[in-house]
Amino acid sequence: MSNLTKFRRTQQWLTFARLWYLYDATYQDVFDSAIVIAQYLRGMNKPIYDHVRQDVGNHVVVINTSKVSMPVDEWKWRMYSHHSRYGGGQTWAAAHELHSKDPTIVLYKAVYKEVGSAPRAVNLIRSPTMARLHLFPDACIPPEIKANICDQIRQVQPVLKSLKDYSEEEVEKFPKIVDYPEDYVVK
Amino acid sequence: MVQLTQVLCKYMPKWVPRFRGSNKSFMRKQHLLSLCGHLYGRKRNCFRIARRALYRTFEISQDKRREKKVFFRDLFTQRINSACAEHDLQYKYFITILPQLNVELDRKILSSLAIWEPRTFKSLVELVKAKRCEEGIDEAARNATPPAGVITRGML
Repeated sequence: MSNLTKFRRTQQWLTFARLWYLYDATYQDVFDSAIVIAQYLRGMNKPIYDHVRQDVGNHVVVINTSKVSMPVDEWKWRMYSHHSRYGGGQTWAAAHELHSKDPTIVLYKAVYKEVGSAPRAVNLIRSPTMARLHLFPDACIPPEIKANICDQIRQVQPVLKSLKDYSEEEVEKFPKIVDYPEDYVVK
Repeated sequence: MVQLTQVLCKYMPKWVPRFRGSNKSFMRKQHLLSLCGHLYGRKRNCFRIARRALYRTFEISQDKRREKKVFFRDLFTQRINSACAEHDLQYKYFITILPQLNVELDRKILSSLAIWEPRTFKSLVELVKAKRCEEGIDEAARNATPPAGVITRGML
């Protein structure tokens, strides 16, 4: 038996416990948020972080992944490849096509890339680290996961409101620069 | 009787009786092979191959000794970075402003403070924040409110 007191033992449990973080991906850049999420998954937010001797990673629960954003035309131009391992079996899909099939896979692949960017030829930490990422396309979280969440990650960019989010009164109150002429035809 | 290796024999006091073999070259080879026990295959048995492999391990270990310094500096930097982020301060401000306040602690000590004495580290962070507010380097620093409980030179 070790000589740790009950207080010190509990302190050690608390120090090395895996924390559960919540991240709201609404209108957030996929690649910027993947960098932040990967840091939390690997435990880089803790001062005891050590990428060789110990695994101090956290769990991250990401909600609203169907609402993630990409810069300018990235949805159109970014291609994801898949190989069926048969001859001529390689297929490509644009990001928006993949996102319409599975609204979590674009963020998953972005985080997968960031987690594996450690300077090792064979990254043995990657698969157990990715197992700690929980992605949900909407705000519905299973209660067994919701019970564990203890903190949240700050969003990488401010959530902007679209025209649909404003009520009709607010839109009417907004000061107009000019009025349309009477003979103007709105398309 | 305890058998010592030749390396140890060399640094023993003169009055200790030394093993003197008749075949000097055999003993010299045995000494080299004794350092190759961890290598694989004929590298640990055959002298000519073992000598080459041993010199190679010396080169590698010399490289690693140089890399070790960089490795630990990066690790300490990462730890201070994460500890600063807990207090909402950027690492670059923390590490540049501390020596201006005559707090000459290196990264190793700062990272161990962040782990073992988090409240000491927090006091250092608040010191840096107060200094930033006082100087008003950029717009964010000018708009920020100085942390409570830090007494600066202008206040006294």
